[in-house]
Amino acid sequence: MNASTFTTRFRAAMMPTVPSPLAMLSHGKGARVWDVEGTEYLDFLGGIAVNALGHAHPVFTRAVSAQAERLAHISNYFASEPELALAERLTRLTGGDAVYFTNSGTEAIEAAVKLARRTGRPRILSLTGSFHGRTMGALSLTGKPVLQDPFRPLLPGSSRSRRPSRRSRRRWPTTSPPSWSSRSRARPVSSTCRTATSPPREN
Amino acid sequence: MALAKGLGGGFPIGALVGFGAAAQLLQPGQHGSTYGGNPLATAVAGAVLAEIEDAGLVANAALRGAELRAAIAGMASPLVAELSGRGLLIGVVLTRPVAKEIVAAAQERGLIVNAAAESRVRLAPPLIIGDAEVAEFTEKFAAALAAVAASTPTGATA
Repeated sequence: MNASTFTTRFRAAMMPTVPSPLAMLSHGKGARVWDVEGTEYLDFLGGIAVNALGHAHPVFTRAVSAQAERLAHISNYFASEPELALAERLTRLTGGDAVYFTNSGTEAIEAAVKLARRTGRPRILSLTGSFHGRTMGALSLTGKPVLQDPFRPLLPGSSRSRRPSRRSRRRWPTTSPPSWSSRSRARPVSSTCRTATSPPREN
Repeated sequence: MALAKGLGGGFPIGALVGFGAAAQLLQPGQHGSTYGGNPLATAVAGAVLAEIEDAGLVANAALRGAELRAAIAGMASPLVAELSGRGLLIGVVLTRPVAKEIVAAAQERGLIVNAAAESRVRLAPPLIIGDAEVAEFTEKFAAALAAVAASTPTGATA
């Protein structure tokens, strides 16, 4: 399939939320992917920092196939061993106390927004230039006006603060958030901050 | 603490971890998800995290990240202003807004990198990379930087 064919199909069948795809990929192994024409690439994007084990890692493929053969989906009316084991692993790794599972990062932020509302404190602060996701609540925290402006009004109570300087860190206490704000959230490593002047391609 | 990205190694899953009193704020009926926490997603994420721990991939990320930073610094490209990020999440901050040109030049040479912004190239390789991948990246990224530097003289891309 040549480039013009997949580009034409993409434009016809997909909502135009992204520019034309860079390539039509077929398969991958480790840190390498191949497009449908057989061209090999060294993949240093990793599905936007997702493919921790690379492509088609035997641990990944075995886990998918073994669990799919056993029990894939049961709804939140039931519990399962993999669910509880992962929750326990995450509390051990993070030092946290309890876990809520979602299907994506933006949904994890949405859950955090609802949890923050339950404190009774109305404000939610996020950093200017930050990226927290694209769904409406998460978008309200994403500190990029170019992404937010077409979708105003944003979530009431959400506001941005400058990137923490030594001075502003004092205003962003990590252990006892100001009573007016339900919590402070900061992402220590941002891969998109600082130089964004047009809508970044990210999810 | 909100988590996602590498958690499922490519299988869609995210998580919110509550600390202390925050862990009990959402009460029965106040939030929920049909799919969230299903056995398939959580089994895969559990396997991915176990492999990251068992194979020492956090240490590998630190090691390979340092190698990549040294390699990029060694290219001494006039297009590179500084390097940001941590481990294998690396931002190559550029002196000019030519990230898209660098991405295209890299792709022509068989290397996928990402324009996170007009003046920033983002690297996020898998945590499993070794000597071969670092060497191949170094060769191809240096060539891409050189090609773009040659085709866009200073001041030409305001």
